[in-house]
Amino acid sequence: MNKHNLKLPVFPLPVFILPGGITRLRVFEPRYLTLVKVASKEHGFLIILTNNDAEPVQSKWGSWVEIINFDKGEDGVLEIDVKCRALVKIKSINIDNDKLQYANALEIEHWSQKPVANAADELSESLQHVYENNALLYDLYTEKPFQNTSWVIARWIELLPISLSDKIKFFRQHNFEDVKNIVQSIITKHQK
Amino acid sequence: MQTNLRSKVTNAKPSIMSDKIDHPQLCQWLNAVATSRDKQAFTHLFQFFGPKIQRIARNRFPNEAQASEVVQETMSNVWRKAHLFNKDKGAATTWVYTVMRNVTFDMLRKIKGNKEDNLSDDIWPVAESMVSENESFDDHLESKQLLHVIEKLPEAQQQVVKGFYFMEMSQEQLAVHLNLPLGTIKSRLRLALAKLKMQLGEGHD
Amino acid sequence: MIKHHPTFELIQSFVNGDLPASLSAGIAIHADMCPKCQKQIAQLTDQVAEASFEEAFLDRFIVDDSEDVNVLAEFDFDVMAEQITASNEVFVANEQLDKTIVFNDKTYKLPRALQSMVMGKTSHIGKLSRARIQLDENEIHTSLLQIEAGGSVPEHTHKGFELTVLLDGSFHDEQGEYVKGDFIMLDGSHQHHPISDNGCLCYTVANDALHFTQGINKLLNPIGSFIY
Repeated sequence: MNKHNLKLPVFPLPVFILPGGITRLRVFEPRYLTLVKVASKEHGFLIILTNNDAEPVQSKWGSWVEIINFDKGEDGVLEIDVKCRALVKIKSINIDNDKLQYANALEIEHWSQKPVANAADELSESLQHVYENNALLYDLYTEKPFQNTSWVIARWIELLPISLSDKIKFFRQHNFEDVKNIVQSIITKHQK
Repeated sequence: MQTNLRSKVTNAKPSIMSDKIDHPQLCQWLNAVATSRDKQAFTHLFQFFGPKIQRIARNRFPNEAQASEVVQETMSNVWRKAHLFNKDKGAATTWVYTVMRNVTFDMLRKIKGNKEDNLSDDIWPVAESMVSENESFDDHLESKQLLHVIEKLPEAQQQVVKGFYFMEMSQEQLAVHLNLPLGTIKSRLRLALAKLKMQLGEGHD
Repeated sequence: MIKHHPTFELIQSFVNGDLPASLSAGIAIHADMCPKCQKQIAQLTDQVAEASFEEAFLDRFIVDDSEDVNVLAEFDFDVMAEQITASNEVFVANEQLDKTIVFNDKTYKLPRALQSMVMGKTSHIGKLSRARIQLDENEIHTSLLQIEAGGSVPEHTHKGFELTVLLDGSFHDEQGEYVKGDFIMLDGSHQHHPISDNGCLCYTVANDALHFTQGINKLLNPIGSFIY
């Protein structure tokens, strides 16, 4: 498939997000308020995974996200809801004169973008239970396709308590069946 | 807000103050123009906004003369309408932006459709904020109290408060959720990761 | 309760001043009645304003245009500032007379956003009365439309878009009931047949003649150019 070269502003964050994933960010630093402005006029921005001390975990991959909603939090800080559109491979990163980093990137295809229909199974039921007990998650996702296995698996990977440097490996693992087996081996209650 | 998952928040990057607009200063100048027709204050405002408006307008109009007209019109409206600015209802930048956007809108309408009906001030009033009075009052109080609380926290914790919502579960939460012993969760995760590493061809560490 | 709101993209373009007057006015009318959108607009305006006047953001515009820098350097802002302050004129807001419009002996208060717009003559077909608003936006037609109690607009679709903001009263269609303040944006994929049991007044913006989809109504096609 012919994919276009993208030039996207970069937001380094300890946030792991796969296509279809939605998260809420609180933006207060002027530089990143500028990023929000640029991103909302153009085509979103790129989240590059950092560890919790804001050091980059890697700089080869990123999550291309779009702003789908915004609000001011109770303390007056801007909150934006972003939805991951695709994963990208980063070719280069430059710092522009507005102090923002811009990445030249290429969209890549990922299993999480291809719907896999499935009757309700333990993974979706369990995820549904998580959403029903978490007001923020429940509100963020206006659509909750629990019958789509690839969506369910992607959301489970985002939630799993494993380190970000381990999570990044899921960017590289392109075999859906393998990923599914791994997630099942963690979540399924009664293992075969 | 959350019942089950922790709302862990961290700061992305330390804030850079030099980028910040000096809002109280702009506000003071604008008030000086409004209350005492202070020419010096207006010159300061002009120095801050004039070149910026010129550049923004240059992006929307085909030539420099029209961009200058936007500066001229916007700044003379600032001079004539400063008394309509209400600092309790918003920042000076928001008010000047509204004046500039309105001038631009009417000018574009004039250029494209030859219409001189100046509709913008009816659509986006410059005399009042869009937020109704009660609401802005509530917000103001609320955020003031919250900021007050945040400011009392040590620096490191302040940054934590101002970060993002982190929705990952903890191992304990996952164990509770699946109704399994924590040890089982830990070993399952270890096994799963080992498997993933092997699949990716990095099982040698 | 208002249930239908403009999309985030529309609000964004509204704040940026990118929409035509007809749609901008539609959003302004809705926001005047909808605290939720009012708040969103105010917050977005704050953000956009702040970002617009930040030096760093502006530098983006002149990245590869060194000519502009020179022009800016030569441009004499001081002279302009002096000219402006030489005038002691202060803007005095017109006493906003609350303008009204009358349809079939019923008087409606005109929304603020429409106060300076030029209204055309009112024409009638059956229980529908329409006054065109003279905005001269080519293929975009803007009107005030009154439906008297029991009246309806024949089932139709659009090639372009059709915006209806309910200014007074209520109507219903296949999708449900609409009330005062609702912002209803339809495109070519929607088909509807609004009926007003108790009468209503709408602000409508459409960018194409509507197209009737039901048997006899096809013969009534002139009504399409009448309404929108």
